[in-house]
Amino acid sequence: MNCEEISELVYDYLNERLDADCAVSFTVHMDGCAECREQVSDLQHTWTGLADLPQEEPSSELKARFYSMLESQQVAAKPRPLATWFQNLAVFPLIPQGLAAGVLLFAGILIGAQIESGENVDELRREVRSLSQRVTLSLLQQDSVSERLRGVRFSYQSAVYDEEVIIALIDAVGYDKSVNVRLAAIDALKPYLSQQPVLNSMVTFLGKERSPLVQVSLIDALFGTNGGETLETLRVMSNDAQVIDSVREHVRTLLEESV
Amino acid sequence: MNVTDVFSDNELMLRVRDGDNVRLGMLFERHHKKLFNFFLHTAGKRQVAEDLVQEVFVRMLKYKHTYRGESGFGPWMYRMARNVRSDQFRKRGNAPFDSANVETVELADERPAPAELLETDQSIGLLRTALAQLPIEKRELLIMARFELLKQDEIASLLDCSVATVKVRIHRAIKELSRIYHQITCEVRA
Ligand SMILES: [Zn+2]
Repeated sequence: MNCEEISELVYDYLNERLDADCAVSFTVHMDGCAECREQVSDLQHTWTGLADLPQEEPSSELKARFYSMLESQQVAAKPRPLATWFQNLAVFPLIPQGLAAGVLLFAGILIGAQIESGENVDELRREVRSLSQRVTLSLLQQDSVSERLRGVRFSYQSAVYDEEVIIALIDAVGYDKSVNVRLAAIDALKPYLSQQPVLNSMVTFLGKERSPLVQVSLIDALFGTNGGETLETLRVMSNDAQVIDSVREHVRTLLEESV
Repeated sequence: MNVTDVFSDNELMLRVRDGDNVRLGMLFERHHKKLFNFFLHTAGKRQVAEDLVQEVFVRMLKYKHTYRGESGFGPWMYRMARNVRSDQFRKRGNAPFDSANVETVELADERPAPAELLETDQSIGLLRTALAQLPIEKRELLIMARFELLKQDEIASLLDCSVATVKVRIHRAIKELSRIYHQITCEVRA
């Protein structure tokens, strides 16, 4: 390998994507060529530095603006008064404490009123169901941990989740910063673990989860499902040195019991 | 089957296109921070960056019917983001972006005085300054690659070139950034 070939491969080298043969020739050349060594080390320094640049957080106003824009689009798209009123209330991200639960009660009263005026009851029931799901979604998007927890709890109001709530709960398990929210979302999703996409995402998250508490909760939830992929992930965990001892021990015990 | 096959960005955007606007919220949750940082590094001020993020999502709804999903959601979104940015520059009467427009100061404002900086903080500050001096095409390429906003093949699709070309361009950009960074470091230490 000569200096020019080195420079063609530097980017893959920085990203650790050189195949084994290339990596060997790369190292051999670098060992013998001070110029390339210096250049590559410079680039590596810069490339590493870029990854260390802190990611900035936007203000909470951005979120509020986005949801109110989305809401105004909804209103424009669906000029149905009752539905629109519900959506205004539920999709807008700033729901005051306690209001969410009151909304359902109030919706019940409205339904009563509408029944008398002869509206289609099933249609209204559907609307209420979708309302409680909207409240869940909206709460799950809040900045405050306690609001998001309320969102997860609120999801229990619906006997059947629609796909969007399931997605939001899955996202919460995988990406919520709060351990408590992740734990609550795992609980809420337990009835849905028989669905392959839900199960798969939980298995994926188990692989990347760092909190031992959440790991154990995921393991327990998944263990009941007995899927091949689940068992495989658990077996890998039981030998993974990065997993803390008590969790590893827990996995081993479960696996032994299952044999 | 992987979870991303089912609940992918592409799937969500196709639903938005077909009238299910609420799902744009999921896409917003997934992408607004990355977009914000993309604009922060390539368009300057925080307030401007937030305006631009908002504008991208407004346009996603407005032009949702143009979404085909062939080259994926990421390139489509960042293509829109680049258009939004150049429209913004045109509106403000700015020449295509150059280092003079970058608000590195704004970011630096929130940081302690130079004398109190730890070595690593200082080099982060210098790197930021160096990045701001890079021409915008190179800067955005580095941000997209390093912050993993897009995969290499997605960048290729966005820039309408081959993956090999993308690699060459990124390599050149890192090289130039290194050079500027070196220069600034020497000036500071002199
Ligand atoms: Zn050499």
